[in-house]
Amino acid sequence: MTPTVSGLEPPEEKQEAAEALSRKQGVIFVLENASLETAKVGKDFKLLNCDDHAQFLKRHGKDPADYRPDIAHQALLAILDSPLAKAGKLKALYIHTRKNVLIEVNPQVRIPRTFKRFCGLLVQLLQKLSIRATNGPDKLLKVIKGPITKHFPLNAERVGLSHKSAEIVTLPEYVKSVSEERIPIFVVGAMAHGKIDITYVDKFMSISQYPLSAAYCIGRITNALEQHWNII
Amino acid sequence: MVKRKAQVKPTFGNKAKTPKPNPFEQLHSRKKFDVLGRKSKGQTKALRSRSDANEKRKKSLLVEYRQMRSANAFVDRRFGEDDDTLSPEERALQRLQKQRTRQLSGSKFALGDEDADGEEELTHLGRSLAEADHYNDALAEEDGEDAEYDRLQDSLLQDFNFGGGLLQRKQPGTGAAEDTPEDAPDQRRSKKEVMEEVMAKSKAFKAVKQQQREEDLTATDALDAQFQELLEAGNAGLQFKAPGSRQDRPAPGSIEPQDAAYDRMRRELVFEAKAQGGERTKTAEEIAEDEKARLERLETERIKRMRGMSNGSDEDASGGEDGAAGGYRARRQKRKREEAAAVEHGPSGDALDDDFDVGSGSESGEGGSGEDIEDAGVEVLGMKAAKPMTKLEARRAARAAGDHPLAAGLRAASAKLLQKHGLAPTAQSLQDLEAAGEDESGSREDDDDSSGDSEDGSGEDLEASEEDVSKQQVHSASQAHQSGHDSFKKAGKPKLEAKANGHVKEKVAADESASESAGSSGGGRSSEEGATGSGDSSDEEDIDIVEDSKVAAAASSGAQDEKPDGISDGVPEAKRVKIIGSGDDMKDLTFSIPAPETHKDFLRLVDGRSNAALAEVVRRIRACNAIPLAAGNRRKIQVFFGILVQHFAMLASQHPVPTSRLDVLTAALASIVPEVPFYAATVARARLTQLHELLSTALNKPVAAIEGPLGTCWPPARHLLLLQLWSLLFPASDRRHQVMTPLAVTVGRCLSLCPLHRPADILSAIFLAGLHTTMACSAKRYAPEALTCVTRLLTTALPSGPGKGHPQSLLIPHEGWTGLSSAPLSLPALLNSPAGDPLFQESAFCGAATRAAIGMIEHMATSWSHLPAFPELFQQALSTLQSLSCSQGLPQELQAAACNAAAEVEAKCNVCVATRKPLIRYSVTQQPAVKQYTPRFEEDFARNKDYDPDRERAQQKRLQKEVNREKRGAMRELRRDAAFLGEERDKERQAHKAERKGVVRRNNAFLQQQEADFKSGGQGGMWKRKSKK
Repeated sequence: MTPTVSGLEPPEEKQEAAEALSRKQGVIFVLENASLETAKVGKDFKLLNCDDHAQFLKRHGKDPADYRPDIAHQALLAILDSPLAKAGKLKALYIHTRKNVLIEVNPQVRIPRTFKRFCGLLVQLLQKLSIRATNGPDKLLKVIKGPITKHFPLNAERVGLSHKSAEIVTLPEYVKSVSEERIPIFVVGAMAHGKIDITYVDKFMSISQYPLSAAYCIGRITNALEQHWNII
Repeated sequence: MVKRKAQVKPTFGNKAKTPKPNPFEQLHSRKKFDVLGRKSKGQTKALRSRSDANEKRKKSLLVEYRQMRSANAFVDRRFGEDDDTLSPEERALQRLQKQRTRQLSGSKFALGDEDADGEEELTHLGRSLAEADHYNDALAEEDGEDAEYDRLQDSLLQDFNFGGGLLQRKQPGTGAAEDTPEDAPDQRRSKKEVMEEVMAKSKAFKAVKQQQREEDLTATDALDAQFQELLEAGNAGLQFKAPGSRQDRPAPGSIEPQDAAYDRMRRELVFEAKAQGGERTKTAEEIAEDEKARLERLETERIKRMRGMSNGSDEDASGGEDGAAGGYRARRQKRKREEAAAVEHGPSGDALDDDFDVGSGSESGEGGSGEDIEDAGVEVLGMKAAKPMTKLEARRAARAAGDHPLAAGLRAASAKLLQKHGLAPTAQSLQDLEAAGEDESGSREDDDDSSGDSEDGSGEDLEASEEDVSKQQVHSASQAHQSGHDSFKKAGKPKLEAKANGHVKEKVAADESASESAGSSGGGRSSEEGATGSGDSSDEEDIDIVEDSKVAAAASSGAQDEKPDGISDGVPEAKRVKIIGSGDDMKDLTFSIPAPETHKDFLRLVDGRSNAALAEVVRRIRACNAIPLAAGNRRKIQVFFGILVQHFAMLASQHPVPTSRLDVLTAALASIVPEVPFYAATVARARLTQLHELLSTALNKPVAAIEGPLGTCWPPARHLLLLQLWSLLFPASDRRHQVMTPLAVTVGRCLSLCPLHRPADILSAIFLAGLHTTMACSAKRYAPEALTCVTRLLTTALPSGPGKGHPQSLLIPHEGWTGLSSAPLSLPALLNSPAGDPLFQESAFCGAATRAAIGMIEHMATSWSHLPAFPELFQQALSTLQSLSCSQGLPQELQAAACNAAAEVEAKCNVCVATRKPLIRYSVTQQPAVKQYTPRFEEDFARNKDYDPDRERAQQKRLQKEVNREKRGAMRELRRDAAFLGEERDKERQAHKAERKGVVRRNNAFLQQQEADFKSGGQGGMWKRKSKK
C-alpha cells in the first residue's frame, strides 16, 4: 500500500501477495425477479410502477402491487453506493427481471439518484438494449443473453437469500467461512412478495429472523464484507 | 382487387362490406416482447401491398405499355369515371348536377328552350302545373257536393288546427241576429241597474266577512279550551315565569355556585382599576442624590438633637402657620405625621405588591426632603389602610389567597384528572408542598419584617434584593458548610446565583463567600468537619461563612450586631443573619462623613468599631461622595479605594488574621471597583509589581542568604491575602486581563520556583495552589504549576524508605505518623504565625497539610477531567497517591483519603483513556475510489428520434436516411416494374405463340383435311374403295 521510497526497488513480497489477494477479492450480486417492465402508456413508453400507473395496470388486468421498480432502484443504490463498490470489490452486478430480461450493470455506473430519472434510464435501456456513458465509451448497462450462469465465474459460491430458508446464518461468520479463492454471488430478490424461484444457486440461506427489504439485506451483506475486508 | 370487385358489383344503400382477408396476404409479425399498451397490429400489409402494387401497375404501366406502339388512344372523359373514390350513385348524381348547371347557366350558343320566355315549366308528378290547374277546375266542377266538403273541412279545422286561429270564421249556419248581451258589453245600462249591482256586491262582501269572523272565534275558543286542559294537567306551569322576573337572569338556585362566583367576578371586574403607569425608574444620579440628601437630613436632625432641640418643635414650626386651625385640621396634621413616619419605615417604594394602588408610586420620593412626605398619594394610601375592608375587598383578598370558588373548582378538577391518570399526589408530597408554600410565605414575611424593622434603610431601592442575596448566600454557605467536600465546586456556582440578582455588588460578594470557603476548605478541608462542630478550626470556618453572609446583610441594612468570634451555636444561618440589633458603636456615627484623605483619617474613623459599623462607615462615605454628585468626587473615591486597600493590607498582616473584618472590607472594595475600574486596576498592578520585585530579589539571592528579613522566598501573608483579594475583585475568566494575567503569572512563579524550606512554606504553597486552581478552573484553563507543586508537596509526605523518600522530607515528623490527628488546616490561625512557631512542628499540622494536598488533587482531578491529556498530567500525582495509600505508618484516615483519591483519579484516567479514539492509518482512509461513469440517456426517450445535440448534423443525417430510403424504394419499384413488364411480355409472347400455334394447327388440320378429302375422293377421308377393300 505504501509506496516505496525511491521507487526503484520492488515492493515487498508480503505486500505484493496482499495486493494480489485483494485484486482477487470480489463479490457478485444478482437482483432476481425485478419488476422492470415498460409499457406504452398513452403515447410514450414508461416504466410501469404501481403509483403512477395504477389505473393503467387495472385496465390491463394486472396487479399493481407487482409493479415495484423502486425496489430495484433502492437495491442498486445500496450496492453501488457502498464503500465495497467504491473500493472496487464489486465484480459484477446483474438484474434479472420478471419478464426474463437479463441486464448486466457495470460496477462503475452511477445510477440516477431520483426515481424518475431511473425510470427514464431503464425505459431507454429496455428499448435500445444498451446504455453508454457520457464520459467514456463503455457500455454501462447492457441487456445480455441468458442464462445468467453463463456469465458467472467458475470459482463462485452461489447463494440465494430467502427468508423461508431453514438455514439462518450470521453474515460475518458466513463471510469468514467463504474461502478467499472463491467469489461469493449473492442472489437477492428485488420483488415485493414471494420468493425467488431459481435453480442456479448452491444453497438458500436466511440472514435474519425477519423478512428484510432488498436494500437493507444488501446493506447487511456489504457491511459484512466491508468489515471482513477492512474497508472503512 | 377489392375495389374492382366493388365496382363490378355495386351495392346500393350500405357501404361495401369489409372483404374476408385473404389468408395468403396475411403475415403475422413475430412479437418478441409482449409490451403492455402497445397496439398489436396483427398483420402487415406486406403481401397485400404487393398485390395492390400489381393492380396499380396493371392500370398504369400496363396501359402505357399496351399503348406504346399505338398511334392513338381512347380516353374516357366521362365525369368521375376515373375517380375511384366515388360510388356509382354519387357519380350519377354529380353527373346530373353538372348537366343541370350547364342547362341553367346556358351556353352562349344555346338556342332558347321550348318556352319562349325562357321560364322553366313547372311540373307535378310529371305533369305540367298549368295542366294541373286546369285539372283542378275540372275536378271542382265535376264534384257536386260542395256543402258536404266544406263541413268536413271545418270540422277538421276545428279539431286539428285550434279552431282556425285568430281568424274569426263565420259560422255558415248561424245568422247575425243571434247577438247575446255578453257579446255586446258596451251596451249602456240604466243607473238603477248599476246601483243594484253595487249593493249586491257590498252585501256579498259583508256576508263573507261575517263568516270569517265566526270561524276565527270558534278556532280561538277551541285553542283556549286546549290551553286550559294543559294548565290543568300542571305541566305547563314550569314554562312560565312570574311576572316581573327578568329574562336574562336565571332563577336563583338553578345555577351552580361556581357559575355564580364566575358571574360575580365578571361583574366585579368592571370596577377593577386598570394598571397605571408607575413613575419612571430613577437614574443612578438621582438615587445617589436622594441617598445623600437623606443622610444629610438625618445628620442635621442628629445635630439638632445633639444641641437639645426637640424633634416635635421642628414639626410644630413647620406647621406653625396653620396652628390656629381647630380640631379637624389638627387631627389631619397629626395623621399626616403618623403616615409620614409609617411611610418612612414602611416597605420600599419599588415593592411590587403595591402596583394596584394609585398613590404608591410617590413613595419612592419619601427618602428625600420633608415636603415629599406630605404627598397626596401617601394620604390616599394611608386612608385606604385605615378604612375597614369592604365586601368587595374582602372577596378580592380571598381570591388572592386562593379561596375563590373557581380556584377550588379548578383544584378539584385537576385532582380528579390526576387521580384518573394515576398521578394523584400522595399525602406526603402534599404535605411537603404545603410546607414549602408556608416556608415561602414565611420567608416573604420575614423579608417584609426585616425591611420594615430596619431603622433607616427603608428608603433604599436595593434593599429587598440585597436581602434576598444575603439569604441566598446564607443558603449556599450553609450548603458549603454541610458538604465541605463540594465546596470547591461551589466556587463556580455562586456566579450563576448572583447573575439572577443582576447586581454586581452581590455577585462579587457571593463570589467571595463561596471562594473564601473553597479556599479555606482547600487549605484545611475544615468545612467537612465543620458539621461536627468540634475543634477550633472548624469553628473558625463556620464563623467565616457566617461572616460572609453577614457582610452582605450589613451592606444592605446598616444596623447589624457583630457576633463574637469563636461562637458557633446550633442556630441556622438564616436566623443569625436576621439578628439585626442597633449596635452601640453605630449610634455615635455621623451620618454624612467626608471622604478621608489619608489612611490615618480613616483609621480614626473606624478604629475600634465593629465590622457592621465599618461597613456602615464605608457606605456613608460612598453615599456622601457619590461620583455622579460632584466633579471632584471621583478623585475622592479613588483615594478612598487606595485607603481601603491599605487598610486591608494592614489588617492582613495581623496575627491572627481578622477574617470577618477583611470580608467586610472585601465587600466594600468589590462594590467600589465598578465605579473606579481603572484606578482599581492601577492599584492592583502597583501592588503586584511590588510583590514581583520582592520575589525576584528573593529568588536571586543565594540559598544561604534567604534567611533574611523574610526568611523565605514565599510571599508573606499580607501579599497572599491581597492576591486573593485581587482574584475576587477582577474577573478571573478573562483570557487577557491587565491585573489577572500578571497575577496568575506571579502565582505560577511562586509555585514553581520557590523552594519549600520551612513548614510555614507549605501553608503558603497550599494557599497559592488553591488560589491558582480556582482561577484556572473558573476560566476553564489548566494550571500546571499548582498540580506540580501539590504533587511535589505530597511526595515529601512519603516515608523516607531507602531511595524512596524525598530529599526534603519536611513533612515527616520525628515522632512518626501513627499519632497524627487528621484535623483540617486552619489558614487564618496559621497565616501570620512566625516561622518558628511550634505549631508548625506538630504532627497535626503535617497531617492536615497532607490531607489538604490530597483534597486539592481530588479537586483538580474533578475540574480537569475533561482534558484529553489527563492520564499523563496526573500520572505523577496518581503514583504518589498510590504509594501513600499503601505506605506503612500513616494514620488510618489519611491512608483512606489517599486511597479514595487514588481510586478517583484512576477512574478518571480510565474514562479518559476509554474515550480516546484509536489512530487511523491515513493511507487507508485515502484509498482512491473507483471511477464512476454517468449513463447517457434521455429523459423522454422516443425510439426513432435523433438525440444528436448538433442540430444541423441531425438534420443532415435524417435527410440522408430519407434519401437512402427513397433510393432503395425507387430501385425496388423499378425492379418490380421490370419484373411485371417482363411477366406481361412473357404472357403476351405466350399468347402470341399459342395463337400462332393454334393457327398453324388449324391450317394444318385444314390442309390435312383437304388432302384427305382429295385422296378420298371428296368423301372427307372416308375412302369407300378402301373400305370396300
